[in-house]
Amino acid sequence: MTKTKWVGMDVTRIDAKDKVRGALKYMSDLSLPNMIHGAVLRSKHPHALIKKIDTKRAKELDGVVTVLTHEDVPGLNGFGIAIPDQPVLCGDKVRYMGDAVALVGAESKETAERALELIEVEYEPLPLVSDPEQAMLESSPLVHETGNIHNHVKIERGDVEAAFKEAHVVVENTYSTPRQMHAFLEPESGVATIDEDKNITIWCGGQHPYRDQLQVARALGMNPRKIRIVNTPAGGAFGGKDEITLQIYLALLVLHTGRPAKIVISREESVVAGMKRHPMKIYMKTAASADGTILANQARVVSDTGAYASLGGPVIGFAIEHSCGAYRVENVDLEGFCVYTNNCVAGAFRGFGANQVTFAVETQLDMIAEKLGMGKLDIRKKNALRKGDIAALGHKMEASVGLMRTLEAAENSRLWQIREELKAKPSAPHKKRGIGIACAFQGCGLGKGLPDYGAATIELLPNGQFAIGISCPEIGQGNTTAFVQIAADYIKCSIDDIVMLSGDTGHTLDSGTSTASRSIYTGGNALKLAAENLHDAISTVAAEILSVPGNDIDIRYESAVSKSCPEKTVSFKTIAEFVKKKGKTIKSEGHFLWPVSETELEGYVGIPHLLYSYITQIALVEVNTLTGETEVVEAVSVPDPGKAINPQGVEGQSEGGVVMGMGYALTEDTIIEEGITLTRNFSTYILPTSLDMPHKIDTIIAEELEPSGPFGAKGIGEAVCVPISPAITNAIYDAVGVWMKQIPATAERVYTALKNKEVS
Amino acid sequence: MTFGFIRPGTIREAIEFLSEHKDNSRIVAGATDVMVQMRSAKPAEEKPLWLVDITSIPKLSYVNLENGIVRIGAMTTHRDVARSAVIHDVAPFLADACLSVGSPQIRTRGTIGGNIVNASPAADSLPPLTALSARLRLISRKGSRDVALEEFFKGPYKTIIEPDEILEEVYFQAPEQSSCCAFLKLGRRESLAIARLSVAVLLDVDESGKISKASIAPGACLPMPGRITPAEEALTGKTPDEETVNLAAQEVGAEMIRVSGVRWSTEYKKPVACALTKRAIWKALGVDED
Repeated sequence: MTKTKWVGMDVTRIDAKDKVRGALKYMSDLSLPNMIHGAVLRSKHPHALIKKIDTKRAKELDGVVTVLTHEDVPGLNGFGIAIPDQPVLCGDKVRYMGDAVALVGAESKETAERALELIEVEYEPLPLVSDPEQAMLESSPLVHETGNIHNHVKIERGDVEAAFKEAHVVVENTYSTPRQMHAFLEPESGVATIDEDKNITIWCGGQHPYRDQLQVARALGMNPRKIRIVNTPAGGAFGGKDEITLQIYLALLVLHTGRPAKIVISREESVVAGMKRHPMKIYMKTAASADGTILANQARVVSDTGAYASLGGPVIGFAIEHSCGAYRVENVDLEGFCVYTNNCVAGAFRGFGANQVTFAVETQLDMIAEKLGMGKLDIRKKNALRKGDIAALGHKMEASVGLMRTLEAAENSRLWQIREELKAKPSAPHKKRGIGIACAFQGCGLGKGLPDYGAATIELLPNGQFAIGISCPEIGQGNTTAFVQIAADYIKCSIDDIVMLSGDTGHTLDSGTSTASRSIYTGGNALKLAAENLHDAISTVAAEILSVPGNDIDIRYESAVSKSCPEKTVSFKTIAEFVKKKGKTIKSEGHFLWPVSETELEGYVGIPHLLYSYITQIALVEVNTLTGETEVVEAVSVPDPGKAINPQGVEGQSEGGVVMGMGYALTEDTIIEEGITLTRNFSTYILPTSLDMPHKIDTIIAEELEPSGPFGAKGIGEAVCVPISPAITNAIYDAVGVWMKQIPATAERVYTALKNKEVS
Repeated sequence: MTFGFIRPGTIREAIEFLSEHKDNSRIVAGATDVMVQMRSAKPAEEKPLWLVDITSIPKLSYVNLENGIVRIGAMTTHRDVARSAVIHDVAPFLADACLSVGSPQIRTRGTIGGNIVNASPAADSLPPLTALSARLRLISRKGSRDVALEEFFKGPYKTIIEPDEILEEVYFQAPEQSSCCAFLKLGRRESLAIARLSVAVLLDVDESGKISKASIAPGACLPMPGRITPAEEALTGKTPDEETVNLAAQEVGAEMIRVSGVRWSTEYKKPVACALTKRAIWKALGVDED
């Protein structure tokens, strides 16, 4: 492997100082001279026909600049990453409480909000459907004319029924998972401006500026080139800003008023209108032989995508791909439904459908081990995918597979080694301790059949520094710091000489999304190609300066050297000055196209994947038998990110992921009843606080280098929050002997399970 | 909605203003609840609402002990109550309760007076204050009056305070040196947690080891603060043993159902209230299992 100077080192985040000083301006901190303030009128009903919208009184209010409805959307009145089924502004029907009906622009935020009250909308309420399984019935009210089943996936291999007959042990259960909230610190917010030639610039937290650009252009009926999108910096996203949030509203306001505009929505509005994780109901039947070999897995998954599709279709495909865990299973019967309801829209969320099914399959595996009297770690080693194996969808694991490496490191971890000793010492007699382990894999990239590409630019600046551009936004994950490290090692310069441009269609080429654990792999590979082109250009100039042939130049650290006459060298800085004097520039581009799996699943896109990150996580819990409360005392997280570009960045991802997965397992759920959100802010939506975090989280990075990745890197942003949830519920079983098949495993649920166990 | 904001520097200034604007004033005693309510307030009210911030009145922030009476100024923050040497000495369970409020930010803004007058059934300071048989001093331009804490509440978020009155102080007789106490709270998480259940226990144990006086006040399971007399009677005159303590704890669960009825959460809350009370009694007696 190439020797590196920066990659693999702990590097302080490039945005750290500004963030801790409060100097960094997030989207909600921006303001523009003469700007108006926008506010969105949301629906009053979860499902209703709109009979009439009267904006007269609102328009008359002093300080109101504009009131816009569906009639004011010049282009397509719809958005959606997969299909544009969500109206920008509803004209004839509302399908959930977050639906937008009108948009106000006013001199102040208060006036805008007051104007919302004056808009008169006449609704005719319709019967609603809130349960996805009921939504699948013929008799159900229709959320969309096209039917309530948005996507259906069915994959069969081998013969599950025969395997169930032969098997030594079969376990069959139904699981359900909550509607987790992204809970990014910065609610959806942004500003926009328009110039005299109707060029629009929008600053709004997002995860793919070029796709935002297309969606805005489509809704405005404008040439995308006239729209510039800036997505960096976003105050957190986790998938919740992958879809359009406010970009189109900002564009409409500036288009109709000619003035700059700003919208910042409240937490309560964000909770009602914003994306969530898909709640899923998972039926699963798994068979194993006496030695613990998994023989068959049958799964039927129903996913609630709410009122609109967004990425619900791909999420159910991804869930099915990951529904057998990171294991070899020869006989599978896997079926998934993505269903519309009148609930809050569900879309992309860190893990992308893997979290739900991993909870199910990792619990199944523990139950099988329990029945066989087998070790929980042993059964995972027995079935773990290795390079060259055939995975559940029938696709060959052609790329690096680090699962065994993560299992071995987990086994050697302090927590696993002294687990019996730690379990024996609960902090009180009414508390019981248990340990749980779980594994996961996580497809990186968009998967087979979807265009997945990325570009990077490098420019030698007149002062000898290099400006690098990658459009994958910085959403807090730290990709910009990793890009700087990768770029410095490919260019062969100091990280201090890199100027990073991120997430801006005006200054970066399209590098795709900051999602799908893909940005480091994509941006890094594009940088590699761009650096090669840069070196060619530098060599040409260096040869001219040193009066040697072009092919005689070797690029060394911060300089170009003559191969034949090594005393002849010229620094990058001198080259930059030379180029500047000649009135020229050195700029290069790198365009990278993702490799894909050879397996094609007819009729499906986005599955299977070629690359996966792998992970094993362990949790030590303490369950209070008097109250049912569960505390995660310690956790170990062993990710395989390929090469860890910035190990402390991987640790940060890992610790944050553990806590996010812990919230998913124990407390977090956006509760919606009859279309109405009951958990409207953070006093009732229970996120873990710093005091709820495990006292200790050990991250052990188990690198299995990926030959196709930049310096061997893959991705790790998502896998880190996945297996910790079943590791925690498996630990609850180990502590008190109850299987939690519904998460979050709240105090009541654990307490009730304990009582039921006593009775039986 | 338009708000007027005034920050009086003295009690007199505050009560003068209130007597003038009693129909459209709202007292700000830390703003940790008022701010939340304002954000969801419906606009287009005819009269502007005056927010009267009394947190800057220096004479409303103190903790002192004189002649066996502990007096806490209404605008003393949770943080200051939790850090008070007097409280740690005479009623440490009140310090524990104030330390369990919200987060450091909320404890630094929120006041004990605000907690009392807001009258949330889940208010953290109320169970220990109830167990201490605290009294309140209210003041208006017309004069001042004293009421027992238990008589102050009419229901959840409802009290007998008049619109022109402010709470000046809360005071209580310092418990005997021989007394012991405990406060326990069950929330949905470790911090920023609204109490789902809480209990304050204050006991006096005589030289023979018998409980001579018992005071038990749960939180978040009754519509308003109150003591559980049957539970207290179960303990009084007894040497605490497993059976006695269990019996007292059962009374708390029974009272909860008698007052609030059986709800969806009862199946969980009743046994957990008993378990919490049991642990609180043992904790007060020096057997801390946590």
